[in-house]
Amino acid sequence: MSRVRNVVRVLFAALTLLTGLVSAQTLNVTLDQNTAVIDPTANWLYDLTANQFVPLVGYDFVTGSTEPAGAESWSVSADGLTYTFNIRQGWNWSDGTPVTAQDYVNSFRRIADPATAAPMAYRIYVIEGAQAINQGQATDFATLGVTAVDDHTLTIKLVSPSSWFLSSIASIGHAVPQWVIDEHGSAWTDPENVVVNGPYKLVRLDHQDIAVLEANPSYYDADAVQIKTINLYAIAQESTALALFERGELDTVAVPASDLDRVKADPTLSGQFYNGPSNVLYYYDFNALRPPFDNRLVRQAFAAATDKQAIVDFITKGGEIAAPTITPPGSVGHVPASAGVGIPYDPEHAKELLAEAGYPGGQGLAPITLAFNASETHSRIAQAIQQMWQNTLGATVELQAVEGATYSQVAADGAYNAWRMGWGMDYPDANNLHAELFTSDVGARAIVRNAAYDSLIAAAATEQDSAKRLEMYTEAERILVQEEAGVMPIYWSAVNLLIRPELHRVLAPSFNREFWKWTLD
Amino acid sequence: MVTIAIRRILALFPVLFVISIVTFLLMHSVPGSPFATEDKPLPPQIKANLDAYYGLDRPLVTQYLSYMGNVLRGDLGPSYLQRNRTVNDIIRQHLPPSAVLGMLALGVALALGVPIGVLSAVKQNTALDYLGMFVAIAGVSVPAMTLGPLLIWGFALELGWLPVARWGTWQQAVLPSITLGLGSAAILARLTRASMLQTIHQDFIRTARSKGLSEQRVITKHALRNALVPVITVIGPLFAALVTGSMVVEQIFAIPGLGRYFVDSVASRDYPVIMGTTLLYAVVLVLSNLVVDLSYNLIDPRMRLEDSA
Repeated sequence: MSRVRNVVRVLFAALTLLTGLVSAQTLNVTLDQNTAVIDPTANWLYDLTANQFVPLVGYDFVTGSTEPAGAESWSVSADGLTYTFNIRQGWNWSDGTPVTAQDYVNSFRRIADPATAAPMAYRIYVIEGAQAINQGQATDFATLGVTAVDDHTLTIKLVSPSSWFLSSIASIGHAVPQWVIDEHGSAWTDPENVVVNGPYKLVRLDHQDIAVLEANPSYYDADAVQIKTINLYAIAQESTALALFERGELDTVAVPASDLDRVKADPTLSGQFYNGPSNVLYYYDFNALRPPFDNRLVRQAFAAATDKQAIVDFITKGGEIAAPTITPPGSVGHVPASAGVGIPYDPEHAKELLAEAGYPGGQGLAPITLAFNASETHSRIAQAIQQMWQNTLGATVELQAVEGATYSQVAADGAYNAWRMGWGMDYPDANNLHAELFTSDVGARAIVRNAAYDSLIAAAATEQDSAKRLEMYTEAERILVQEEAGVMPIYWSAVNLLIRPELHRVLAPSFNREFWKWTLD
Repeated sequence: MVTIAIRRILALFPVLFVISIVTFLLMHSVPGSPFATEDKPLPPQIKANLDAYYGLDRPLVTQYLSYMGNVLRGDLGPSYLQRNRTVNDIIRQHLPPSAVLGMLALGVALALGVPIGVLSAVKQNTALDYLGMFVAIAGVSVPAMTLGPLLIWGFALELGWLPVARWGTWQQAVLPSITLGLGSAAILARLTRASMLQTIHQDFIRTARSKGLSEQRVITKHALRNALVPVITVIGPLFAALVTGSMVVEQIFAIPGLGRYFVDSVASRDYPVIMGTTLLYAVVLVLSNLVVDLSYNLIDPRMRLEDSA
């Protein structure tokens, strides 16, 4: 009898051990972003912020729509100016304090406060009073259009109706625990101080080495969070991360471009390989302040002489998509290829356009300076384009690699004839690209100005009807990249990943890794 | 000798003062801002708020004086890019791994470089000499950027003997120490060989041999000791360079060291980090040179530091 009992005991112990192992779901990934400022009100959103704090609404990149997060539901006034959010009830911060509407008010106040010096503060200027406070013209935070009506009702008043507003607050305005900030100052996000309301809590942070997130039991949807511990290792070198993946020490990694061919050819690795779209646009600006690109025919000619498909097929080779237009697929306002917008690769037409502009066969064309911020990839793409422009148009193109910290400002002011730029979406809406990069009031000084384009972008920002918005963006892109050819989109980037078969991660061009949606077998 | 050491340490302060002014002026004369992004110029108001936050809206002289005031109190200031970290934090957290790795690498360099140099010189123009110099030239020519991944591939992925990367165990220290040390070993080997060749053709070596001393004793006792003087001279700056971190090696092996801050801070105009790392490097360099100068005394009594006063 006692033997049976012993066997049962041993079996039971083994079972406990086994379930213990299985339930100890630990994910090992790279920590690829800035770990130093984890405060969602003082910096752009990174993985460590997105997984610890909850925005009012979330964004589901698989379905392409907003989803409830801190707010269970919301409504918009008929004039499109006032948003009312119903904050979840019965949900606590990790220190036991209930999450209230005031926590969201505090977040927007901190972002607007010039003393916080938040680099992304301009993104909430659409909220009543935010710009005046951020620019020091108003000091009374009561003038900010974010109000807690009661503990679970929040209203946000906008300056103008903005159809992109909801998707934009998925990446800004996460609730913050003001009492913790008051107590610890900028050290409030350190593991020993931080109080969170999101799916995970930072329990360890060794800069440049490792960050550890642990599931937060007080999160409103804690039961649905399957992975309980996440080790994020700071591995700056992509090839090293790949080697760690091959040794089984990481569960998923990005594949460096130089290893793509090997990974795709490897019998094991190729089965764990994923290639999909991302949300980054790679493009060139043309300097409309100086000849020859002050002439739209010349800009059109150079755009028509650029074989974007060849660049993604033979240079970048990472599954990028040649981009006829600006807004990447997956974002609201993406112009479908069927609309026929953009300047297709057509060397003969390019030559005709250049001749029409008064430079037949490139005669009389002064040397063109093409600048890029120094990097291997940018350099190789620029060399290819240099070749295309020289062969097709007879243009002399001088490449200029410029050091990063001065590049964007100098280029935007018009130091070069053409220059490289890139943009990763902050929120999945065309407004993010157009209104921040290309309109006359905020765009680079040296790119082309067009009043019709400006008014279309302004109108699209306030238009509530999504079909009409798409029409507006289609027309706006037609003006920007085709008629004016002020900007030349080149490609939309791709993500190349290796994923261990046991890991199921969200495969959509999301902006941050939302670990709470991932599972491990 | 103690007086000399104290005097040299005191002389460090004016040196650091000059370095701080030159670095401060240089970094502020380079265009660019710590808050610039490559994608888009920052909106002017946002930049103004950031400038005000870090006191960059004040005149340069005020900025310098307030910075130096803080430095004298031991406060190297905040990092502009890592807002809730100070330069003191950065150095405290990242110097130790770099220093350990640097010392191990120096050990590798000495353990390989000096014997290879001596052997090559003693067996001049033999196969052994050619082999030694081949290794030395390869060590100088193959950059860490290539050697590191190559070692990872061979010893971690193919053979599985050592971990790929990261820091904390002795196994994890092996590959980065070799990667970082090999280049310096090559330099030391060539230097030792040249210096050794010069020494073994001198009269006192001939005298030692004619006294009937064994070849081993001639080499180790008489020649090597003299030949090592130039080697020790380069160990000073080599030590300073190795212990303050190597961006490339630390990056390849994911070591949380200080190396990247020397490079990144300049690229991103993180002014306090540029100042902090430069001053730190200056201190380490001056001190290691001092140790080298003092050690001459032990090796070659003719070079005894005289109290010139």
